[in-house]
Amino acid sequence: MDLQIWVEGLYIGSVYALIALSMTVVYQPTRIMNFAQGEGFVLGAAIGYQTIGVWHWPVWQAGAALILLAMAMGYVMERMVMLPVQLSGNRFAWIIATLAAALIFQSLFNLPYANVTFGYFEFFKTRANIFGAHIAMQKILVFTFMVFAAVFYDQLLKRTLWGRSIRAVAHNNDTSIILGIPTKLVIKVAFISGTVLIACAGFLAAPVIIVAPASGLFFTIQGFTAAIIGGVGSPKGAVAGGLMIGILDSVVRSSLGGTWGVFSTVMALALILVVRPNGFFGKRVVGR
Amino acid sequence: MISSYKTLNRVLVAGTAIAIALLYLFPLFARTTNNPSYYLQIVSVALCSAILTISLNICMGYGGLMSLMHTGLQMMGGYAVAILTLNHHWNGWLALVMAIVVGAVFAVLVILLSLRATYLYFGMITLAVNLIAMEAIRQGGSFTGGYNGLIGVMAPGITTTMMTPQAFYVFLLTILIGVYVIQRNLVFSGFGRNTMALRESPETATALGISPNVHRVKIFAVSGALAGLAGGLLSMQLGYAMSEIGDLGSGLIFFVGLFLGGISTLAGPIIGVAVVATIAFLIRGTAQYNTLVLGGLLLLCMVVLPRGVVGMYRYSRFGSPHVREFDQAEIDSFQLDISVKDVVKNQILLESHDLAKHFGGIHAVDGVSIVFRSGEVHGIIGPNGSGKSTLISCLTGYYPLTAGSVEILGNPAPKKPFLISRLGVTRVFQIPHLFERESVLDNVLTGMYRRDRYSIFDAIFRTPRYRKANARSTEEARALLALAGLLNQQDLTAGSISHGQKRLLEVVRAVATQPKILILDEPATGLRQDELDVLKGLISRLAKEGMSVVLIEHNVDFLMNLADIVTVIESGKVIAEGTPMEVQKNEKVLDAYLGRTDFSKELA
Amino acid sequence: MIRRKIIITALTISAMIASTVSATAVDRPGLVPHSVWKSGQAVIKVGLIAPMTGVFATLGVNQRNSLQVLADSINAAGGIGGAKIQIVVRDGGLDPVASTNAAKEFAGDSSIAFVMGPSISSFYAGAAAYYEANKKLNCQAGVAALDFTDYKYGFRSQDFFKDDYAQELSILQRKGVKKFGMIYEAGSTGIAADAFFKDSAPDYGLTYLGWQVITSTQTTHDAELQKLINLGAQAVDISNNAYGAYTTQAAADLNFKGILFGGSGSQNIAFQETGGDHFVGTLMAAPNYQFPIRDKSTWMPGYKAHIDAVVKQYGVTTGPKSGSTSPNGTAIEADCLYAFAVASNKARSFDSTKVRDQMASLDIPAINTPSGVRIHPGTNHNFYSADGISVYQWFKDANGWYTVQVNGLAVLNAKCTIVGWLMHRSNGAPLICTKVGTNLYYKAQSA
Repeated sequence: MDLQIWVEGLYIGSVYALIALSMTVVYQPTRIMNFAQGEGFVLGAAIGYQTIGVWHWPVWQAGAALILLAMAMGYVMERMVMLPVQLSGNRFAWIIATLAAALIFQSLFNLPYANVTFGYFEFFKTRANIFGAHIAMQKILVFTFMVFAAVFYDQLLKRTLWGRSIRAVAHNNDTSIILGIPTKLVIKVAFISGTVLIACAGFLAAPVIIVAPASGLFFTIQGFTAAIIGGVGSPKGAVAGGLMIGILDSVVRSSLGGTWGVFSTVMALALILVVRPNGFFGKRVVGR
Repeated sequence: MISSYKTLNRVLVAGTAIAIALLYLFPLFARTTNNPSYYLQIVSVALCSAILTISLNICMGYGGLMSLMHTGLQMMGGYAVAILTLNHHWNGWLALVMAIVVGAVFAVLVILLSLRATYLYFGMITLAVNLIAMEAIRQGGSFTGGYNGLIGVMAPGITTTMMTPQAFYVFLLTILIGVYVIQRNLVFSGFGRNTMALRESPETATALGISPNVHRVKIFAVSGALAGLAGGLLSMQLGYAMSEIGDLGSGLIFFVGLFLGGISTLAGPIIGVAVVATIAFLIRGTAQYNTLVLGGLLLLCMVVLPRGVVGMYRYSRFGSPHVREFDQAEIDSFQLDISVKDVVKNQILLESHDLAKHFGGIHAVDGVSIVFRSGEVHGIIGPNGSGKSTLISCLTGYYPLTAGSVEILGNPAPKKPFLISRLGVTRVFQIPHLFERESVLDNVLTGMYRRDRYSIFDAIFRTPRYRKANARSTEEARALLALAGLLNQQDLTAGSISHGQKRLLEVVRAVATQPKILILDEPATGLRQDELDVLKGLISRLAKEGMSVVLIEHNVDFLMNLADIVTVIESGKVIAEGTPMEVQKNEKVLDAYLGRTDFSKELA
Repeated sequence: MIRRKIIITALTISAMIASTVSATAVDRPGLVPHSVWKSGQAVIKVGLIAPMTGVFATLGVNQRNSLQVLADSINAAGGIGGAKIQIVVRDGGLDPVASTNAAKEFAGDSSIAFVMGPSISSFYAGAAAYYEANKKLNCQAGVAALDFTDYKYGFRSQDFFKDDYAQELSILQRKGVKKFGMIYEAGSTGIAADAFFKDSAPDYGLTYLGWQVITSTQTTHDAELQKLINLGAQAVDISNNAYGAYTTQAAADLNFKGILFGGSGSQNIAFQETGGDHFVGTLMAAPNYQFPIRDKSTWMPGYKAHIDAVVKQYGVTTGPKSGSTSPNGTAIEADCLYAFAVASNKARSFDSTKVRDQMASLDIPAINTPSGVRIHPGTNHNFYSADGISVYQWFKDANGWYTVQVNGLAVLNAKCTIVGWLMHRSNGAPLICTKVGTNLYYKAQSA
């Protein structure tokens, strides 16, 4: 089999891993799998398209705009999701709240951009040659960003006070309030940083992956699958799950054909969950 | 208050009756509009959606199972009808029955494969299955019509080949009412109570002898059957079966309807779908802004009505349950036989030999041999972290043993907690594990699960067998509540009664399982004196009736007055055993606890 | 300027020959249909069902834009029979139930005279029964896979995929291609195209290497293209939908030197954006897509008038990388409404059966229609026939992307029946319908 196939799989996998990772960031303190998370990816791509592609801003300036807008989106999303969830008290309320948020953001992207796919020039136009496989530098950039983000978040969770707070909030909301952990702030920060992370991913990947205004839900489902395969809530799991479905999809498609690609990822998901009901790195999840 | 409650209730009943009558007459109203077939169509489709949403409510609302494959089940029901009637020329009625079967069988297959996956992971499996099912249908060639689907499905006929749309509408409405009744009967039956118990607290439910897997499979099968039915009916209404029907995106209406109406409420799905269908009708002209308006309204509704229409009503002053006051004579009139059967005095009911449980290097339980006899109150004391609760978890099957053995009634204990419970060992947890959203009476009835000798079909169709069993159980449950002084609270939700009442209720619920051994983990914590007296009376009475009552307690006063025999545990080992008097004088106990103010104070 | 000139010319000429040629006012080139009858209605409603939201929103939005532009200009000219056109839009999304409900609404609403959509083949197949039962005249610009001879009241304003491919295969043959393959998403069009290639490739001396099936869940087509390259493919058919952009991206990734070909989907600037230099030389078969042809004077007059109005009102979409642009409106969708207006004028009625009969017998020359293609439905209810298909090839220079028509005369089908009608050669040279002796011929304009 061509090395190219594996390299491509690794790259696509790193995109899925980034999405899964940002879902993990939100999941850790809230126990919510955010169906609107992929909209952040679209936001990043849309900002890149508008600022770099159409207005020809320099990358740093576009990046600044990206961070600000992503923070705003994360804040708005937190309100859209957490307010109904906290009021409802039903353990499934998050499904409907996050789907509604996804629907709203998707419509907003579609209004001005219905005809657009958010592509623009790559930051580095060179291609690397790795043992005969050609790969755009931009893709290596995405992969590197993924590795850094995963390691950073993993260490943050393990080594810092803030990381312990996040885990405390996840474990028991009431206790953490008693312990003086600012639960609400932790959740807000999780939404904002998760959105910034995924928006950066969209911003970096858009030149080398096709992002349309309505692709948010597609990327969400891929990230969702990756996170679940790896084990929800685990940064390691997000990376492992993302890379696994990326490579699996790429390899199976090239050896067996297109429809088998879909089947293989979905079947892998079902099989893994049947054999390992909590994913590779996951702990048992109990409903809220 | 009572009269206003009754008035409101009458208004609601009358309102429902009028609404049903109006719905039946709807085809006549539609005829007066400028577009009769359209209005008939959207209401008919909404009726199908309501059936599917009820199915989703049974699964998610009552069963607590997150399903993202209900649109897929709907699609399969539709294809069952389309394939059988179009390709194999089956009678439409038989095809509808097969749609139900296909839905149920498919649901059972999925849940059997994924029994070990819980909550989110189960939800993800259902999402994956949904994608696989849609893809399989698309690759089905001429069998399923591939991407184009199967077109030309017809409503079945009674005397003619095909019903008129008006007749089919009336049929759909009747089916919906039938499905509503099925849902209600299911929810109010023992089966429904157990399912909700599992949803609220799988741990407690298993302690009461409920098998989680059997219930999950059954509830998912019922839900799948109804989803298949909804899909079969929808294909007849639309005239086709298409793979896109299975798309989760198109199924948003069901989730939205469920939450807007009120999840885990009976009428919620119907009211919710009515609201969503009306919204969709009103905003149909917004074109590009359609999903934006829908999403916005949805979030708004969730903020304004976070528990849904019916849920908010239930939580409001008007919707809270009517409290029935019993007078003393009524309370006294309850007769109850709680004597333990098939047991002789001082019979060894449970014994352990050198039982050990290690967590890594920590020896939580380290070689405990203990014997529980009938008619005996057996106290277990020991400082915090001495291994009391771990011991109980080992005896009741919640932890696998590191070493040693447990025998129940002379036989080796089974491995699963609910099987141990079924042998007559019932456990009450240290932290209250009530089914807080259920009524006090329903909590007790859940404990009577094993006495209900009726099937899920008896419950759904309310057969005489069900009615008889249900009347008997309710009567017994009331008698038990009377024993604990909780009869006046029977209709309140368990979450709303006082802490002491909750502890008593837990004991009552445990007694309702008719245990031979009742294990109570710190039942006296936080009880007022009058409540303590009731508890004490109850425990003495149970022991007198032949039960073995095991008490883990910190309240030494309470224990010493009550226990026939006390076992003292320290660092996972038994350091003393005997009557309360013997233990209190035991040098080893006093030595071991010298300087431990917490314990010596308690002993003194 | 040019438009005005054409109008003036046409007006003068048609006035001159009005007595000899049975031309009604509607047949004037570049003009909106003009009514000389009174319907007695103030408003005439037409319905559009299309995905206005979600993944395929671009489909519905561009259809709506195109219709609105034409409706505005017809209304400005007095409407149809004095009735102003009002477009009623329903969002069908990708939801068959929503689409069916909307179809039933329009089918049963007597105030809706004409319906377009639902714009997805299988959804239309499900909805068509309602239209037929209610004798609701309808026209479809997004239903490629069905046979419209089955429908009494349904018409199609779309090129038939077999016509597209037949033209393109003959061009590939001329270019010396021996082997080609297809990368297309799983679906009814893919299945039909695969069957067609299997059957027909030998007729053109070509070897068909088979179908690499793609799905909506993948983000790259590198693996698929690599397999075809390994098999020796010199040409690859790409998807007509947005997924085709992944194949053009794969062509760039893998440095594919062969020819990409496909249908009108290549209008999507995403194809040029992702394909970059590797998109040069791509063949595109379409009813008529002159937008990238720089010399606007060669555009079909009706097409030009329509597209200019679309661009004026709704703008263009620009690709930041390629600088390529496309108008935010689908011309073939406007043909539906155009044909409806002309047929209603001829029937002097909005009665669906009468209008249907007139519509079936229409023969509107290419220079008049908003799409720039002759509308000639006939008994099979297809607006466009095989000779209405143009094949373009994409090129790029310092000023950006442009196309060149490569399949002979653009409008072979547009018979020269009225003096003053315009058309052009494949190289863009304009021709004008001129009377020579007793016959009418197209001649170079300069002549």
